[in-house]
Amino acid sequence: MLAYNLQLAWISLRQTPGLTLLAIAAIAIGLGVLMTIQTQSRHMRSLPIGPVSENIYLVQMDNRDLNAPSLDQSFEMPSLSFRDAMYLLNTDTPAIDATTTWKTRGIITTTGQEYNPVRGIAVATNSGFFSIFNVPFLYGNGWTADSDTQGNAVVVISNRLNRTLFGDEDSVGRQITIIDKQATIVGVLDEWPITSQFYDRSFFRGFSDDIFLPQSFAISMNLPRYTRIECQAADRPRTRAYQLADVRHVINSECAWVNLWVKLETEDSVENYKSLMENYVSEQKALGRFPREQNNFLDNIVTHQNAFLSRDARFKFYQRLSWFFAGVCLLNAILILLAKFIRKTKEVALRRALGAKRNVLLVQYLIELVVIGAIGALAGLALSYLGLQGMLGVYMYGTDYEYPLSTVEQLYQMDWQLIRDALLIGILSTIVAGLYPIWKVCNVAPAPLLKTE
Amino acid sequence: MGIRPILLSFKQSKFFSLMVVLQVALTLAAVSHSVFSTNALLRNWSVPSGLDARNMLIERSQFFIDDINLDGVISRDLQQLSQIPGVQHVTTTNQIPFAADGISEVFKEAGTEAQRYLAATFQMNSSALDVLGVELISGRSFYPNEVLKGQLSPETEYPSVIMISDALANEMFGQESPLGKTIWPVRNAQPAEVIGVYTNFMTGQILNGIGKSYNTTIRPMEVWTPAALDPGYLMRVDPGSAESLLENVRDVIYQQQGRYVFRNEVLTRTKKRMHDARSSQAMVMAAVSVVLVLITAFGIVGLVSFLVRQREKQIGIRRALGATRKNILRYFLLENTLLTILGLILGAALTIGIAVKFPALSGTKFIHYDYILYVAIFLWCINLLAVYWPAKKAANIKPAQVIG
Repeated sequence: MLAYNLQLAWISLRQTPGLTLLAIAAIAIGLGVLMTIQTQSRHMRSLPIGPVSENIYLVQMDNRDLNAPSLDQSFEMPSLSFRDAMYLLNTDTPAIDATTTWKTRGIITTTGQEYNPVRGIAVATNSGFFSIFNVPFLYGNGWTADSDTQGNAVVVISNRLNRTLFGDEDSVGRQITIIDKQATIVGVLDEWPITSQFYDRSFFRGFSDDIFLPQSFAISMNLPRYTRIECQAADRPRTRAYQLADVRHVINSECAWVNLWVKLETEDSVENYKSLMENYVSEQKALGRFPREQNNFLDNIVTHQNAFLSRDARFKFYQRLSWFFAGVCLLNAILILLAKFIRKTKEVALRRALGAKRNVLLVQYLIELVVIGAIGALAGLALSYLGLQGMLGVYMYGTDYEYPLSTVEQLYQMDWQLIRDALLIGILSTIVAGLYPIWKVCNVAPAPLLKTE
Repeated sequence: MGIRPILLSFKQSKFFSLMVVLQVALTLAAVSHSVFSTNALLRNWSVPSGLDARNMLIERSQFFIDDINLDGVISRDLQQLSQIPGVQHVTTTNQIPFAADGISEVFKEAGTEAQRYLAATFQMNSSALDVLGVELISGRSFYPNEVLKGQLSPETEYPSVIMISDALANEMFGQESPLGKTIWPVRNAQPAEVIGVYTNFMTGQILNGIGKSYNTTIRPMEVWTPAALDPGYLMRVDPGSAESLLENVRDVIYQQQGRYVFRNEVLTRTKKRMHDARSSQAMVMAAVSVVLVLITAFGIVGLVSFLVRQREKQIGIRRALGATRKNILRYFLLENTLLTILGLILGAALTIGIAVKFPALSGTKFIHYDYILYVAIFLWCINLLAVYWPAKKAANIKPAQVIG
């Protein structure tokens, strides 16, 4: 029966090749545009480091001036001052794991080099970084907690930097020079499958960071604070000096620039951590710090990523546009299918007069719709592939090919979910578009039509 | 044939008529906005840069070790760079054309209240005009001994002469000759005398949307400040050799230890970067417009085929009563035109409404009413084309076919 219906569908498709093609084109284009944008959106929303993203929280306590504008979103709130971050990092808390991070940079050379110096973006952090974020190693390991306290000159480098400097060899134990200080490599990262740099709150997707080094070491050699520093009014004129030079003062100041990440696995521990923060701020208030009313945040990586994405006005515009397009295409498909099926009125009348049940006809045309939808979906899939490649090309062009393709292209990749969604949406929307036309044509009364023949 | 029967037929198929009108309206709004933004981009692309960017190189580097006496380094660099075969002229510079993103101001009088004129200030040596390849319109260029060299300090006495661009001269002094006039390159600081006016070149201030693209001044300075960006070099090279000289330039800079080159490129690349963000957006918008026009055309084809099919009998009767094929064709074209015009009027209102309410949406603040008209005419033509195919079919209906 199905084979027979498919055969009928095929014959019918070939009877009106022009309109059938138009219907397929309308569905394919709408689907192509929708899938191109939705796939990017889905990739953008994927959890930065997998499911654990929900258990890692950023600690924020409002230590701004009294007259600063009030903030109710963690996304806008500055990070912590060095002293607060260090206190919470080193005190006994419900957190299973914790680390601080901030960005810095330096020029990297090695002794006896045969290549030009490399500018490296570095992360000043703690030994906890590698455990809390499940960082994979190609060679060696992270440094020990001793190195954190003693400020040892040790570094972990990315495999990209390792390739540049040592050509993929195991470089553990070798020395590199950061600006003018020697440091020993203790580990080389493997490809780290994070979707964006969440740990510095930038959610940046271009380069991966090259160097990871103990925060105590970075401070002792006064590496620049390559990050936003939010100071209270009294310190604000010195912000630039705090970024570049004045390390002794910045670590004792009220300026906020250190991100503290904590891993909390239960609701209870989250609540406990929150009350710990509250107590801490109350204590500090008694000492004359934290001029504002208590306003603490403990939001996980997912919340921060969503806040970040919701600010991307251009992408939101594209998203709305893609839905609008899909809608217009669907309306068009309805019109075209109506034109197509209305031609069958006579055929329907004849078959009905000869005793064909309405349901049989409905099923037959439904199958025809499914065939149209499937072809449209396949064509739409091809179009969304072209669309994704095109968007990738536009992005690469727009950023002057500054970022490596490998880190950018993950946003523009086709995957099984795209294929599944495209087929599903394509076929379902064709059925939706065709339901009214086939209902209309199957409901004609045979007699008047036949009379005129 | 009159319009009355067409109006009557609208009444009969309200839904379909409404669909056409709406679709044409939405298409016009979307396409108009993408044309606005593409136009804003193209206008920027087509403004003459005043520079022969293909034959210019830039080099920017930074010492990452302390205690460097840059005086010796700069004169060594200048000497070695100019000795590279193919390099014609070299100057130090604090800014790069097409990449100037900081806004600076100049003033016609001293005092803290003086009116400001937006202008990018370039610090270059006496080869400035040769490197830039701009022409002197009046006055003279710097003499080598006028160029201030060395480390800047709060006590530095700044050069007493300055050159300004034609555009800035016009804005500050109008018809008057600017030569011999005194201007203040920094508010209420040391003034300088205008000694020359040169043809305009582009600063890249388009980028920030506030600065003026052609307003520039050049001060005779070959200077550096500790803990600031080291001066960069701008070179004019033999025609066509720019790409091949990049490596030689980099090698010269890297001969000095403790140095990192972070930009070494042909100036065309800098120029491209200036346009990139907007052009990529415009490309997407253009692609979107093409797709939308296609969809609209498809929809019209489907719709008119449907109408033709529904009215086969009437058409047949008409033809039997003496209507020619031309009449039938005209009927459908006219019907579609009426609907399209309605859609276009609605769409124009929508376009203007969106542009006024959300100026940022299309990336431009400007409405060009004439462009809306062009887009409308274009859409009307597309719609006529879309109608033609099914209408032709209608015209070919033979009376005998349908009247049994």
